[in-house]
Amino acid sequence: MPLNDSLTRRFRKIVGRPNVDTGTAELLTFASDGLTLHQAAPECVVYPQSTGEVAAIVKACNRAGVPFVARGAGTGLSGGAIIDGGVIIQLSRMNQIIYLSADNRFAIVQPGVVNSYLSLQTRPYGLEFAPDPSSQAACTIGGNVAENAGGPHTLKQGVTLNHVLGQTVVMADGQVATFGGPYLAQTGPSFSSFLVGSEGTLGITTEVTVRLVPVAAGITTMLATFADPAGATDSVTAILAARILPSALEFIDQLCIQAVEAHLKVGFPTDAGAILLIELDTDDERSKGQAETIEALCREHGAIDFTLAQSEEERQKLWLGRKHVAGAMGKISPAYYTNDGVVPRSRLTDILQAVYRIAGIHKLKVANIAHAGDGNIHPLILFDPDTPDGADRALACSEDILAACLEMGGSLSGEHGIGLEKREMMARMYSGADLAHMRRLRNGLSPLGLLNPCKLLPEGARCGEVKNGATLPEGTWL
Amino acid sequence: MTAHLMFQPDQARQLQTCIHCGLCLPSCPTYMVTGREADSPRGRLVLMNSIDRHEWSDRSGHFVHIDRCLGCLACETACPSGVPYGSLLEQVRSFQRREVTPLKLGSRTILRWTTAPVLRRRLTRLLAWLQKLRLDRLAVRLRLLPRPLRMQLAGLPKLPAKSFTAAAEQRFEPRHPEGIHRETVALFAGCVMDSWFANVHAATVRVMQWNGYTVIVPAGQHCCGALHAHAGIDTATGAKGERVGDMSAFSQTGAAALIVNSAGCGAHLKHAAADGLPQVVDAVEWLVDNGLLPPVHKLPEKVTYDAPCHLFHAQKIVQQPEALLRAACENLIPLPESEVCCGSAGLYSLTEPDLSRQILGRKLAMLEKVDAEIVATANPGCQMQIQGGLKLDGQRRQVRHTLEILDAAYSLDETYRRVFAE
Repeated sequence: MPLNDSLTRRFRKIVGRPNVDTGTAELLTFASDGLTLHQAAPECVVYPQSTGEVAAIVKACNRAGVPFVARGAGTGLSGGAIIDGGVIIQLSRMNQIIYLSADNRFAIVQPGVVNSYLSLQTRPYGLEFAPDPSSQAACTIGGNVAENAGGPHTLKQGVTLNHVLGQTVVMADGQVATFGGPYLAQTGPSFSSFLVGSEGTLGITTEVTVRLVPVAAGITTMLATFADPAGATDSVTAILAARILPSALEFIDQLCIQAVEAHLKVGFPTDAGAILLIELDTDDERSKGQAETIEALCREHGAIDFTLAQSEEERQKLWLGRKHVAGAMGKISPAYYTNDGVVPRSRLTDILQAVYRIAGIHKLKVANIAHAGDGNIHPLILFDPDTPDGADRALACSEDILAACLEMGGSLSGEHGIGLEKREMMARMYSGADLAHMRRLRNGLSPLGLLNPCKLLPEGARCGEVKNGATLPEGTWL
Repeated sequence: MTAHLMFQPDQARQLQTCIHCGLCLPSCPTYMVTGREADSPRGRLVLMNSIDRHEWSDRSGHFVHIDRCLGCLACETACPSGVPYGSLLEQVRSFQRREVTPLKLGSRTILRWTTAPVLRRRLTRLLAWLQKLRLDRLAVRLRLLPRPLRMQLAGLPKLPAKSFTAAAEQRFEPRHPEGIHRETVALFAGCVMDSWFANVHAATVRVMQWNGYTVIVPAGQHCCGALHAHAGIDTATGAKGERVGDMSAFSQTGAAALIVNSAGCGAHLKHAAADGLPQVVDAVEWLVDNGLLPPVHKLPEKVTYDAPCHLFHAQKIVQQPEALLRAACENLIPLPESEVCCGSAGLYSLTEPDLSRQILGRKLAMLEKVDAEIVATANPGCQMQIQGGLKLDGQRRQVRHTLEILDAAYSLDETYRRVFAE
């Protein structure tokens, strides 16, 4: 269905001619986000610069019955920011930090602000935005809110949900609502929380009030090396059981280490079965004692080496290695698929064994990283997209891993979201009643079903309807 | 098996190393300005792939975004999977010139008048004459020319009476203060650098001599062809009689290194130079890596450094310029976004004037925040672009080559002045 001309004309009136793309080349580049398995091009991309413009675009889409989705940097890994036909509301130009209150430790930002840029700007005031996904150099705050993003340091600091105080939201019908405010203590139910992690299906966030936390005064970073991956995961459980809460606790297996070292040389031991990257956000006497306990526990579980980063440079290098694991996969495989399962952390060793076993059954190689402290695993399933069933096998492998996570009492996604790829599995995790209530909430806030359709919830027939152009129910107020 | 329209099989495989993670987006100057996926490295790789797989018969829309690429290679620095973006881009551009759209007349003309020896001599004489009569200032002030040309004119250095190279080979003996003799190196003079920046070459030779090196400047040098390669023009067939890319002047020198002081030429020569040539080394890289003789006195002026993309991103020369400037300057002030392109990028400021101006605007805004009297850089294009921008912007700061700054610091010492006054 070609987008009707009157709608694009309307868009041009709202944002100006140069800020509407309908050319083949431009649309082609929006056909996928960080997940390339799903490809679907929009019919139009609009670049608004204000809440008012977003609201006007959404109203126009409603009137025309055309589906739409908001997009930031397109680094998402669950196909959440693509749309098959319809309109992408591209928020990359809404990238201003509107207000920063160092005294009250909050900032009001537009959704297109890049995650690490925000912390770069607040660090002179001794503050930072805690969620630090591996894509933080590129991903935007709007996307962090939509996916409830995590990262290595959310083990202690909490995920994005814990750092969003308020939001200005363009609702599915184009009305602008404000939820929450700059303070932690708020009146009434926290509507803002409903929106965090809703994957852009309930509204489009155009301003976010984020909590800022003090930058750690000192940091202790440790690297524990294991011959056997099980020793590493057992150590994670032991450390947390010893009532030590590191600020980060990351698991990296051999294949990942080798891929990173082949490319970056950050100092990971290439012959290790697995390593743990452990960080405390202090470097005082108490942390010294904790580091000793951690070392003892690691050695008890088979660590063959244990080192402390001696300088900030060394520390940065280790983290650079960790953040570039996924990227380094491009060096050893033409494609890979990132699984995002979660298990109770006491089951880490079990799930890891299951992952290697399942990959073996599917005859696929798998490289493992994990936010181990959170029980959030990221098996990177390597495959060749040029073989006829390459992608299908990778997806089947991932599905089996997720089923194993659920069996162990875990969940489908730690931070990447459900998006397109896992929505049918939601029925395995939630009961019919659970899903019915989620659907009621969504249908209540987005009655036409035009806002980011086909994502998050198993939809069945409804999704197809939207794709063919929704019809406007009588009496709908626009 | 998919048929490839322009890439060799190994290049097509290199294209596949892009995992679509998007980490390159915030580093791309055009994405910073337009926020458009198609104007990002990731988007451009998608378009390249689409062209290569012959997905569309009308590709003009694809090439608009390829044309907008500066070729600054900041994306290569940001890329975690090592996509060789620069070489893919050159391949696409060369395909584009052969099969789609030839280089525009204006660009071809400028290329010829700056790189072909005879034409360049004429152009230089014309420009020097304009400068003498102060007509260049008039043209800038009265806005007699289109803005991109005015900016180039404003950014032009005071043109020297003659180019640096001579009809015969020149040889400069070492002048180390303690009489130390080190290796013999050959200086690559280039085209624009040779005619318009002869003083930079003179400074380069002096600091090399002072550090104990013998410098040979062979006669019969030619343009390295970097600008042509970036524009997609095959120098072997396209430049009749110009001998672009002809480096034969250096094959018999027996020098330990082929010293290049222009970032763009250095980057190009490092990966394109033929066998039998001395190893290509950037001048600053050579001086610092082999142990720089620290100046006795430091320059008192406040200096900031803007990294040329083809030094920082293409040659990964990151630490050395800063180390050199720290040794030469009392007040070295860090410049935010120093590693982001200034929008010069060869012919870019003339072919994409609007984008170039916006990218330069961001650079000028950063410079305005920094309290520095001198901006150091190491590439003629950057130097003219930033200097022109500063002048048109009303900022009174000088842009200088890193080695001119080192030369100035050495000159604070009387011995140095005396030795080279002879």
